[in-house]
Amino acid sequence: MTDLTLDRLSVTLDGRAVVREASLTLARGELVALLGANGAGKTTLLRAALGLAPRAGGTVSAGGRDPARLAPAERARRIAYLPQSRPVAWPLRVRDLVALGRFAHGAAPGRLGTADAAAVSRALAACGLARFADRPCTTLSGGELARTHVARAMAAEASFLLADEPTAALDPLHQHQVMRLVRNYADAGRGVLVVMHDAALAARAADRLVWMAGGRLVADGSPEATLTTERLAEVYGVRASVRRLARDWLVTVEGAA
Amino acid sequence: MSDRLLLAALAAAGLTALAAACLLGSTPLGVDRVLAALLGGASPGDRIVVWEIRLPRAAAAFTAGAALGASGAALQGLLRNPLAEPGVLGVSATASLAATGVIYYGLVAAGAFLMPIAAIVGALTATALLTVAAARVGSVVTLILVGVGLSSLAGALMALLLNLAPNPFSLADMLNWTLGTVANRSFDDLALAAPFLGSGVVLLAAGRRSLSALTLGEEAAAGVGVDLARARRLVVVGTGLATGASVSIAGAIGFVGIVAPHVVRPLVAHDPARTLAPAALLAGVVLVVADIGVRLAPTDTELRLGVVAALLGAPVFVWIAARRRRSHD
Repeated sequence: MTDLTLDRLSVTLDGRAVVREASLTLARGELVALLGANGAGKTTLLRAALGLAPRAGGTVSAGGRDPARLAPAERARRIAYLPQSRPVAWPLRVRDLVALGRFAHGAAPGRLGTADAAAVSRALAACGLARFADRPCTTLSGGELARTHVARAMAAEASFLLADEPTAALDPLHQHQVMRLVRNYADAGRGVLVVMHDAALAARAADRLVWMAGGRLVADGSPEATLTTERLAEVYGVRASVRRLARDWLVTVEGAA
Repeated sequence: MSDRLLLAALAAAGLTALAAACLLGSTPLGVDRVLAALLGGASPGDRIVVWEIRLPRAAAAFTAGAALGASGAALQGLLRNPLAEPGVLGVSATASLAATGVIYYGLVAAGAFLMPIAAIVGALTATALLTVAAARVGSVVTLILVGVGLSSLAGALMALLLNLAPNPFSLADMLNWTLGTVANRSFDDLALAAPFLGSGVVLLAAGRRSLSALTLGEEAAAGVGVDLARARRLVVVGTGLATGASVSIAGAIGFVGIVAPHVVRPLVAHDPARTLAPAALLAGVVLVVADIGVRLAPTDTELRLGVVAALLGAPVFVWIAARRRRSHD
C-alpha cells in the first residue's frame, strides 16, 4: 500500500500510443532507473503517473491514492517531480530556488515556516550547496545548478521522487555526484525513479533497471539480470559489449545494431 | 533591504508625492493653506483647488500607475519575461480602443459605468487572446510579437475611429484616451473604477505565490503543486480587471508597467511574488511625479501624461531588451 504502483498504464497522444500497458512498482528505499531510447515514452510515463498527462487506460496508486485525483499540492507532497527541462526565469538565490520545492507545503521564498526552513537547509546540506545558498543561481556552474535542482526536488521531502534525466549534459564527475545524491535520498527511505541513458551509471547506482522500448516496459530487474548485449540492441538499437568489473559495469557501444 | 522596509519606504514616497502634488501647481499654495484645505478649513477656493482638482488628479495618477505596476509585474511573472507589460502586449491599447468605441458611438450618455466596463472588457479580451496564444506558441518572444501585433491592430482601429470622429469634441475626447491623461479627474471617476480595480488586486494577490513557482517553468511549477489553470485564470482576469480600471481612469499609459517591476526586482531577490506590491507602489509614485511635471511644464498645450510616460519608459524598454542574454530565450 505504501508503494508507487503503475498498473497497465497506457497513454495516447494525438492518436499515437506513447505508453502501452506499463506496469511498475516503486517501493520506498528503492532507486530504480528507467532506461530507453529517445522517444521511447519515458517522460510521458512519468507525466502520466503524476497525472500531468492524460491516461488512456490503467491505474496509478501512490500510497493507496491516485495522484491524478489529488489536488496538485496534495500530489506534490506525496511525489516530487524533477522535469527534464529546467529553465530558471529569474536570477533567484539558490536558497530561494530550493525553497520553491516547499510550495505544496504553503511556503514561498522569503516566507518559510520552521519546518520549511529546516527542510530547505537539509536539502542544501545534502547536496553540498550550503556555501552557495545566497548566490544568485545564474552564477552557478552547470554541475552546481543541476545539484540545486535536485535539492529543490528533495526539499519537498515527498515519499517518492521522479527525476527526468537529472544527469543530462553533465560531465562524468557531476553525473556521479547527482547519482550519489539520489542514491542517498533513496537510502533515507524514499522511492526514487530516475530516467537516464547511461546504462553503466544506472547499473552502478540503481537497485533495479526498467527498460522501455516503443512505449512498453520490456524488462524490469537487477542490473545482473537485465543489462545484456541483447537488451541494449533491443532498447537502444546499438551493438554493445557489456562487462562486469567488481561493482562496476563497462558498457562499450560499438555501433548501430 | 527587507520587504517591509521597502514597502514602508515606497508608501512614504507615495504620500510625499501626493502631498507635493497638492502643493505644486499654477496657483502656488503654501503648506499651511493646503493643510487647512485638507482638514476642511481654508477658503472655498483653496478647498476646491485641493479637493476637486489637485488631490483627485494625483490620486488618479497614483491609482492608474499602481494598477499598471501590479499588472506588469504579474504578467512578467506569468510569462517569465521582463518585457511583458499591459502596454507592450496590447492590453492597454485594446482597453482604450473599447473605451474610445463607447465615446464614438455616444454610449457614455447611456450610463457612466459603460466606460470602465468597456475598458475592462477590452483588457480582458486582450489578456484572454494572449493566454490562448501563450499556450500555442510556447516561445515568449513569439508571444510578445503577438502582443505587439494586437497593439498595432488596436492602434489601427483607434486611428480609424479618430479618422471617422463625428465632431471635434468627440475627437478631442477620444484623443485623451489614446494618449493617456489624468487631467480633470474627480473622485467620482475613481469610485467608478474602484470595484474593478479592487477585485483585480484581490485576484492578483491570490495568484502571486504561483508566480514564484513559475520561475521554474510550467512543467516544474505543476510538479511542485501549482494549479496552472487556476494560476493563469487568476493572473489573466486580475490583470484584465486592473489594467481595464487603470485605462478607464487615465487612458492608455505605457511602459510604467515594465519600468517599475524592473527597478524593484533586485530589491526583493528577484522573487516574482514579492515584486507585485512594491512595483505597484513605485509605479504609482512615478506617475504622480510625472503628472506634477506635466502640470508644471511651461508648454502652451498641456502635455499628456501617457506621452511623457512613453518618452521616459520606451528607452528603458529598449535598454532591458538589448541587455537580455540569448540564453533567456
